Amino acid sequence: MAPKTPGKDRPSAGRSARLSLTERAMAALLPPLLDTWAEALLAKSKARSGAKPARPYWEDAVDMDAAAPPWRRNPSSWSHRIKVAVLAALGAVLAAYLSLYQLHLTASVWDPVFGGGTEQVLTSELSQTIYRIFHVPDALLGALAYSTEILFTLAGSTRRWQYRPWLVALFGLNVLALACAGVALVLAQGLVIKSWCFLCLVITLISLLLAGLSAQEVYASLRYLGRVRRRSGRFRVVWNTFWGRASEPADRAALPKE
Amino acid sequence: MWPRIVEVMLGLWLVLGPLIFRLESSDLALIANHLVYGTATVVAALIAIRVRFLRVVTIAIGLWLIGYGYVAGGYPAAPGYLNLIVTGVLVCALGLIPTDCLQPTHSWREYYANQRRE
Repeated sequence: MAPKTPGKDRPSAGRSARLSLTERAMAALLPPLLDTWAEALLAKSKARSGAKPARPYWEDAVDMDAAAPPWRRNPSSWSHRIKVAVLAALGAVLAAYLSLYQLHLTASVWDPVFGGGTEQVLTSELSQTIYRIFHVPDALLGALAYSTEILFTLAGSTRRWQYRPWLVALFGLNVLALACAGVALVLAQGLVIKSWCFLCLVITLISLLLAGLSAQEVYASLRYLGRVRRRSGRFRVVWNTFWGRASEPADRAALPKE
Repeated sequence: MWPRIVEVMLGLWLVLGPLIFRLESSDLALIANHLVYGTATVVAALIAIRVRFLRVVTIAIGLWLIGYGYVAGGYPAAPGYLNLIVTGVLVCALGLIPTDCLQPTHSWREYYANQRRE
């Protein structure tokens, strides 16, 4: 943020002659003033960070990007979880689009493959029954499930397989329920309703992809709990570890040196 | 921190609900539910940033919204009741997520801090 002197080394120097006196004064004064202000802010933040440690101790004490055994990579890393979140968001949007038809907000549904099949599936007897039981159309239930999955994907640190196994388990259950419901609905389309819905198939495919993507993290968490059980030999410690309570056996079981 | 912020946004969505869904003034109970529990969600979420266990309150609010929308709405439910159910599910899911969810748990942070003291 070097202060610029207007006029001299600029190609448009001739134009400055047309500026009024106040404009020229402001152009001359503002950049240095802004610089002083920015420097003052920087000095202030430096003084503040000098008073207390800049980073909390645990950030130096642990490698937050450590690979989760038995894998060679970290399934809780952001680069991995962002993919899950984006896929889940796609599923949520598609399911919400289908639910618009079920709520009579749109008059027709886009289906490039099966034509009117989608509308038959969405207004089928089975769909009506689900609507009657839950008071929410089934596509909207799917959109909700995908939305909660986005929430559970974005929650947790990059080492949540160790620090919050319960969160990983909750996320895994959500993914599993979605995948099972998706497969069941596709089977119902073929066996009961006997017509197909293109976007429903895409949504089911997404739920299966999500199940594949999140399996590693859930498995890493389960294996970690298993190591804690072997090292401590007490169920109580495993229970505490599951809920994110720290203990020495859990710490030593997290990244075993083998 | 972000779950509490999203909860505040959902609370505001509930407060605006009667306007967005153009609820009739005859549905006084439905409007009252939107306003009261929307405000309660905002307040509970803001306090839960400091007082951690108060996110239990947002879970309870979410369960109430689901239950009220389900029972009072009937089948087929009017948009206002459907809104209560949908928002209730999201508030409930968010309430399950701790405020410090992007860090190790409090217990683990304490564990590492004690390690340094030794």
